[in-house]
Amino acid sequence: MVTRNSHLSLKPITLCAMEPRKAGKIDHLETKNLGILQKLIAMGILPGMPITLLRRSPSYLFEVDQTRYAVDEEIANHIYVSY
Amino acid sequence: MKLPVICPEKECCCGKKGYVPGKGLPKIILIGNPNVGKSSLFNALSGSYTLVSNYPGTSVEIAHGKARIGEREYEIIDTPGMYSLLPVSEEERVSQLLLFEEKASVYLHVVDARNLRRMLSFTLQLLEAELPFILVLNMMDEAEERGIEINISELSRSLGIPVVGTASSEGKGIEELKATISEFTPGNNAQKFRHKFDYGSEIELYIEAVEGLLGPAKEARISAGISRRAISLLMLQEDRTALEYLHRAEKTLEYWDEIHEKSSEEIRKLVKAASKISEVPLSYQFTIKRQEHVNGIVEQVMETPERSENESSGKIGKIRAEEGTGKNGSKIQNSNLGFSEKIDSILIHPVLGIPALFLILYFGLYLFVGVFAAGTVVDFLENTVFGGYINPFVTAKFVSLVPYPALQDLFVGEYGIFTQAVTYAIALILPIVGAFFLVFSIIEDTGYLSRLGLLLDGMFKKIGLSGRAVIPMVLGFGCSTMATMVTRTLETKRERLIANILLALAIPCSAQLGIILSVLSRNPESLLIWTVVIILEFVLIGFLASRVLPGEAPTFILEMPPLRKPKLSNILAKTYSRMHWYFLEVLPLFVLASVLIWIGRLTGLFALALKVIEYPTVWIGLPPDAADVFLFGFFRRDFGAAGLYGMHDSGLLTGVQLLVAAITLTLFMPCIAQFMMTIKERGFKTALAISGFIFPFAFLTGFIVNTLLTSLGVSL
Ligand SMILES: Nc1nc2c(ncn2[C@@H]2O[C@H](COP(=O)(O)OP(=O)(O)O)[C@@H](O)[C@H]2O)c(=O)[nH]1
Ligand SMILES: [Mg+2]
Repeated sequence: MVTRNSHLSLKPITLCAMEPRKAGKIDHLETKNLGILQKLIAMGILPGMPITLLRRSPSYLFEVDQTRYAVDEEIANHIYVSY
Repeated sequence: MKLPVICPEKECCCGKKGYVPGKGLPKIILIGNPNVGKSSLFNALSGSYTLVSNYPGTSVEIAHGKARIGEREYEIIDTPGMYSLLPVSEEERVSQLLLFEEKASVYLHVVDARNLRRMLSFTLQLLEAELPFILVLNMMDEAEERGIEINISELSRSLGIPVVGTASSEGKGIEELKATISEFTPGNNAQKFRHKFDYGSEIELYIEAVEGLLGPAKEARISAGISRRAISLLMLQEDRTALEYLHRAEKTLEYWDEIHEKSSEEIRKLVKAASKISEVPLSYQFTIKRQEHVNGIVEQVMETPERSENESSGKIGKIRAEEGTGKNGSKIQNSNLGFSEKIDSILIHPVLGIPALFLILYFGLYLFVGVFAAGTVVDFLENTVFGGYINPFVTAKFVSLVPYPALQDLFVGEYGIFTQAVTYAIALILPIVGAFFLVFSIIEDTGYLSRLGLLLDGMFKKIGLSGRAVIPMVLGFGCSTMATMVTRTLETKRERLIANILLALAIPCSAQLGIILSVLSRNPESLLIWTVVIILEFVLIGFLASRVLPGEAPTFILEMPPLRKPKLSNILAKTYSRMHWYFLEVLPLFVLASVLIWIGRLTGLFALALKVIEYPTVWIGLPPDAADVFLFGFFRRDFGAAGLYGMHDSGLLTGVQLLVAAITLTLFMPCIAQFMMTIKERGFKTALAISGFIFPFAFLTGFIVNTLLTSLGVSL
């Protein structure tokens, strides 16, 4: 049921492992923790959205479409991206 | 997250309970994500004021106002932000409930034009709910600045609803919006739209089945304005409010019979079955489906410069080139943006961000609030205006008019209502707290608070808090009571409790800080030791609390609004509204404190209490007379601090003693008002437990500092 970008052969990585300033796409979200999942989807952090990691310290700062978000590592690990 | 807002209800009706401006008129309800400009729009339409803030989630309460649009009067309602019809946080639930319970003649869905892609999903939900609404694309100015082009008429056509572009903070597009509201007729558009969009045949079966079971007879009881399809969707996502409504309908329906019982039983079964057909939660699946549809629309109507490489292959080369030179890959269009981007990257830099924070603290807090307001202005007001003219005059008048010493004591005595509470309020609190709120509003309006949250999240995690807690913590330096109220915005009970303890213990409020600074600043070493001890205390207790208290560690997610130039009108209005709250909520308790002190002294209870407090006072190396300071410190920390001032001036305390007393007093519960707020927010037992910890702990710290300093032979 999850939309994946099937044409990509690379395995999706988490936001934490993403290379800063390199534009990617959200591949899917970790669904184990329902609370975190719902927070993410409510804020519009969804599969298929363009995503760029801007910095990983002091916390993770990234841009989805035109909006920036700050999250901690725990939440960053719930976001899978592909290039 | 929300800051205390004095609701305009209070302002415009001067405390008349239950009065709502415009009640009974046709309603306009503003809905949309946090921080998209709903409150700015509310203000532009109604002319009344509600808190506008560059921080997601600042409005906690529903605000009502009145607006005249064309020939008609409307009641206009501003809501706290919500991201979707399915609420995740308590604040969102407030807005969701409003949609369930109120029926408006027109809704305004406010979105940030830049972020159409992220926000249209909610628009689709509102279409599903068949609410009569206008889509307002706000922040058109910022969208333009970034070179984003939106084809509004095309968007309106594909959604089947009116769409208006505005820049509400600049008043642009407001007239057009008003005209659209006047002409608005809730058409049958939602019906049309439904044929274009569904969630896939498999799940649609369930949606329709649940919808069918809701039954036309029940509809009116389930919700005021929301369609059965939307309710059905919410139920399938196991939304608490929707299920509660079902439950409530069960309870209140007079003609409750087997058929109804069966249908609600059936619904629960369907919800269970539906959750099994997909490997991911249904809310996730629904959102993804909606987003696919949104992406289709956005492709048609929106032109964004420099799309990411996946979307427009023609631009890949350009983006790559930029990456090669290390330039920011995001959309910087003009030098203005580039400049704020540079400042931004300093503010949130893990290393440079700290000196930047200290600079802001130094100029904003220390120089402006501490030195100018708490020093120069207070000095002038207290000693010259009140001490020199007003108080002697009032006291003389009062004494000649009222010959009873007890009453004289109550009103114009040393701790009298006028000479103490009112003088303090106007000469001391007003300038210090006012200056603080002014600085805080400026900082808030720029968007710096979100940056501070990002900067400090890692450190705050070590003391059991998340970056979100910077708001109550910073606000605590202004008014602990207000900050205690704001802890409401933190996500878990555990985080709220830790924040509350730290506020009560280690964060000195501006009134207290002002006096302590002026007492200690004559001796920089004392000031330094005081600062170090208080910071250590803050870290130690936070660290211990996060170890000891049960519950999960907090997580941190925060939207980062762009840095904006603060707007004078916002700042003034915000400062005013916080001052207003402060004087309404906190000041009466100061008067109460004066009365309690008066009763205590009159009945001899104070003499008794003083005897008791003398023990710990002497224990921490202070003269017995200093017990006075601590007793008053219980009522208000700054009373106590002022007492210190007096003792020091008359040479009753050595430098070390002064420092020890200042430290102990800082760690005390801030004031009666804060204690009452703790009871209100955390409950009586917790409030008692917190103070039961804090008082002994404050003396213990005083004891340790005193022992250390004297055994090292330090003299200050
Ligand atoms: N540039 C720009 N800023 C705006 C506009 N509308 C609101 N703002 C700013 O956006 C921030 C959030 O506004 P607010 O009305 O509090 O949003 P709310 O959370 O939806 O009520 C504030 O800093 C406003 O000054 C607009 O049209 N253009
Ligand atoms: Mg608002």
